Amino acid sequence: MFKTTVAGLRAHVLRLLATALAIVLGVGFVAGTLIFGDTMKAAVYDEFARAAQHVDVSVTPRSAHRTELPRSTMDTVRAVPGVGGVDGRMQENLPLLDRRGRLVAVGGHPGIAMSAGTVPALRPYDLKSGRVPATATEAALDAGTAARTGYAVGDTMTVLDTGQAPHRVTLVGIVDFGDSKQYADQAVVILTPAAMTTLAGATGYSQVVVSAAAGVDQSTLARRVGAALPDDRVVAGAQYRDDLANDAINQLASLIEVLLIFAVIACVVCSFVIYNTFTILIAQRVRELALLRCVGASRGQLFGSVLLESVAVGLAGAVLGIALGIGLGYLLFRGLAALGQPLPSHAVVLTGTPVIVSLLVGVLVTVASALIPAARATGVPPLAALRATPLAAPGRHRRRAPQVILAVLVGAAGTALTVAGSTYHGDSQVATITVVVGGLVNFLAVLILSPLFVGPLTAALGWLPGRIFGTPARLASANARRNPGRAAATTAALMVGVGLMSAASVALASVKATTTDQLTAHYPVDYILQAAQTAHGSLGIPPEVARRLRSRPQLSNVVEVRIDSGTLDGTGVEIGAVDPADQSLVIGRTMTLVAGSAANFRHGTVVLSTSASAARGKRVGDTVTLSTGDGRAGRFTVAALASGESQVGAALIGWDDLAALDPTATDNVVLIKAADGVSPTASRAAVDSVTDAYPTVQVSSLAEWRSELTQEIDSLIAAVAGLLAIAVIIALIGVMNTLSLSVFERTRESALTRALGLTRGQLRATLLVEALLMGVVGAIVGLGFGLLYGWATTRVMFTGFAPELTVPVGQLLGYLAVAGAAAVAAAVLPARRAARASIVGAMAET
Amino acid sequence: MTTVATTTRAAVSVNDLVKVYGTGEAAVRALDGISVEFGAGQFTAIMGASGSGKSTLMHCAAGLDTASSGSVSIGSTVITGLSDKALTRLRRQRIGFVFQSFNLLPTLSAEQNIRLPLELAGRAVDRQWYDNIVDVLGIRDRLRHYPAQLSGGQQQRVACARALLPRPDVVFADEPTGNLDSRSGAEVLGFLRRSVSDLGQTVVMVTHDPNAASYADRVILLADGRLAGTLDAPPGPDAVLGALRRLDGVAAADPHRAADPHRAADPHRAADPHRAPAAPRREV
Repeated sequence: MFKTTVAGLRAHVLRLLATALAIVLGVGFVAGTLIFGDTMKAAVYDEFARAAQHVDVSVTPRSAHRTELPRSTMDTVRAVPGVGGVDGRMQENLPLLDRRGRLVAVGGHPGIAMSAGTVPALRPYDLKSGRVPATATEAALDAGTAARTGYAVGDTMTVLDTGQAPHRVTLVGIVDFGDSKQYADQAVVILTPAAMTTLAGATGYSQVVVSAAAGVDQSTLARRVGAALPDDRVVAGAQYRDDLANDAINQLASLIEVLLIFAVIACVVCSFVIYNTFTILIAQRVRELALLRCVGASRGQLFGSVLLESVAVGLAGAVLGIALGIGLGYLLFRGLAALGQPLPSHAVVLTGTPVIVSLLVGVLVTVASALIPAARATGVPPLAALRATPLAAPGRHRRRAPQVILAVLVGAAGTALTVAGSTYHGDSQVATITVVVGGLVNFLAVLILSPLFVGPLTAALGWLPGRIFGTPARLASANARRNPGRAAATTAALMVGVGLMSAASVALASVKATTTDQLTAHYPVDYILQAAQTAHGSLGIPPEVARRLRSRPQLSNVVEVRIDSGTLDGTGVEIGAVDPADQSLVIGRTMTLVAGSAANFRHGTVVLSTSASAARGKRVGDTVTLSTGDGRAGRFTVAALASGESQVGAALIGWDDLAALDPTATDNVVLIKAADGVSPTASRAAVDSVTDAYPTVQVSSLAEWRSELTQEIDSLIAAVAGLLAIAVIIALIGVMNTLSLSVFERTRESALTRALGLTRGQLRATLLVEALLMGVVGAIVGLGFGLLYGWATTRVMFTGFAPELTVPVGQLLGYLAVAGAAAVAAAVLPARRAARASIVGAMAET
Repeated sequence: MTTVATTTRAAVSVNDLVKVYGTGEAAVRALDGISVEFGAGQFTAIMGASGSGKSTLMHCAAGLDTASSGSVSIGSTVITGLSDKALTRLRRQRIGFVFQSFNLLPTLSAEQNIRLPLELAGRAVDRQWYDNIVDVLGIRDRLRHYPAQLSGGQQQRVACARALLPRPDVVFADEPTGNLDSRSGAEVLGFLRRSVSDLGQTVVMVTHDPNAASYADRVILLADGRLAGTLDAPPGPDAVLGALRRLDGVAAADPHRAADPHRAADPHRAADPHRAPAAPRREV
């Protein structure tokens, strides 16, 4: 039996190739994601080797309230026996201006300053040229920024101090962080500790690093230092490096998870394709299988033979998939790096796990998909060997009742879940997951039912091409319907891909429309000033910016908004305040109150935005405790609840209240409304005349801000569509596979139609239209489903937000067109083959 | 080389037709310079042993296959050298086909199958002619059925209806009774005979069955890709069989290549070809 299987594999190698191709793509996606993850981890570990070089013990502040280590830490550590060298590392934000006076920023983030380090061995960088700064007016610069800005040793650079005032420093050295991209293309200026204090506002150390004296063990020293500094976080050098790496890895781990979800979707689509191919292959080999039964093969042997075939195909596909995965992992890594993700360069890492997982996925998905076809093969009676080729009768009434009952039951469960999720008023995450699961269950019902409705739907859709293209299109429509099970399985793969794509598009388009609508409705302003964001928070906008803006007659309103991070009853929240002068422009307009009244908003009260998790369950009249980063806290009464995402902090308190909670709070956002009758050019000039002196302040008109938000969502849609594209490509391979097997099956039929007067072109058209119908049917069902669930999911994701359902018609029609066109493209080769066959030769075949 | 002249106008004329398969050493001359005319309004049978070239002759004459040399004319149209597209158009408008098996598209109903060539040609169906054919063939109650729901005989009758509906210049039938039992076969042959006698249709039939050939006005015998003789109208099955035997003797061919003599011995088949078929049928 084994030999027979091998011979069969060899004979059908071309037919199995397309199946293997689907597996290659599915496994390639899985392998690529895993290999990317491994490579990333290895790269991140290597990356931190430089920062942790020679560091045997690292001391960092433990408490959230204390962001710096006091200067006395150095003395404490130095007194610990076994300590070789000690250095305090300072790190602060420091905006650097380029030669033309513009902010050197990467992705809107200004650069940082770092202390030069007093112990050469413990420096996190290598000196590339020049020397380290020795006086407060000297500085060194990282090599990347130096190359970008053209600064060279001996040049004078301008940096902005904490009050945004310019200072000139002399560039004395260029430093290199090795392969590390810890600072991700940020401009890093190296200053003396004294300059760090005067220019960058450092008051202590962000980290104290220690090297051990000869003969002292890392962990022993770490224990001793820890005993001396019980309030700080003290770890051994190796642990420090791991911590740094894990931090970075955790940030990217969610990306891996998302990628794996899409890889799983691709594998599910893949299983449809494999199931379908094996079903068709079995149907075509009925005579061969029956002959095997005639000569004595048992049912079990036939079953085993088909499964063995699937194992071989799965294995071959998986091996090629791993090869593809290596390439894909490399491209992902490179692609993300090119997109500005802080990824160090690293060679592709291939560990055992991705290989084993990929082999398992490839073989298991293939074998599981081939189980039903294999079981069907055992049902072939030996007598079938003697029968003439059976004519496939269209519209055979197979057992419909069980299918319908099952679909109704599954559909009922899915609908119940969806309704339950949609009407659930608790945690929006629970509601969203419930709706999504309900959607998946309902989709299963659609799949079960699809053999029943794909035929009529094809007929309905085939009507128009039939009218336009005449008989060939009508033949195509009849062919597409002749085997409902096959058509359903082929289109199901497309339904999954297109369904998910359209659901994501609808959801994201709804979010986009809702956000931009809110902006227009709630922000009756013309310009928004935003503070530059850094890894350590907002740089802030100096209050004099607002003061100077108010003096411009072209501007009628200037509203200062301060946003601070803190906690509400222990849960993290953004605390906002609006200056009292013009707060009417914001309160009641940017926030839609759902309970309480804006009139109650006064000293000692807070307006909570219901979208924040910290505000969950709070009612008007409740007393809550708000606290800011440095430990100050106050009790506030809830004056009102507002719906939706707040742009001024989820907990809005009075101006004075915020000043009491955080005396250092400064403006983060300034909203500006132009005076009536002032042209946009004039008002923009007025704003720019003030902000030009503050390079870190970003000015955007409302239109620009809106387009920024829109662009973000658009790129998200593009990313999702790109990730789902693999699933759609696999589905199209399925279409090609089904069609080429059908063409093979219909060799004589094609010859007959040619003899009766169908031209080559018309025969080709028949197959192309058949593919088009399959593609469009799959896409339409997918679109309908995606539309419904995209909307249902969006609704519950933003409870109390009243998102408006937005149908991105153009995009959805685009998906439909692409699915149709791609299905037609997939049919080109099979159609060519069918049209090329000689009539006489094809007629002679049995 | 013999040229068979006929008194009637030729519907199809084949002139010095050569068909070679393969090249060099492996080249096989399936047709070796055949010239023959199929008279309009005549029922011609092409007979010969397997490999004698009878199917190839039909395929070339019908424009399904291309000739290596020589020419074929349907009416006044020389079809050798026509493009595939022109040949296709010619087939759908001027030629009807009845094949041995797999005559119908499984996805179309009997009625749709019958109308297919006219629909492909974009021509209107002559309703009266259609009703006439359907009634003569006795398939009216089967029109909505799909091929899988029809017996072999019914399928061949639907195929006959399809071949006749466009009123083609010539109907080519390739072993139309090869897959049928004797009674169904007689029905189909009887219908082809009457379509010639009563409707003036031209029919060219390839067969290896002397009994089937006995329905024809004229039998053309092929051996080794050459014309080996003709029997003129209306030859009885015994005469056909005798001619075949003589042919075998002349060609000194393997006796197994001759038609099966047992078939001719079948009493039902040895009947007068013009006799009404066994099954009662409506008159035209």
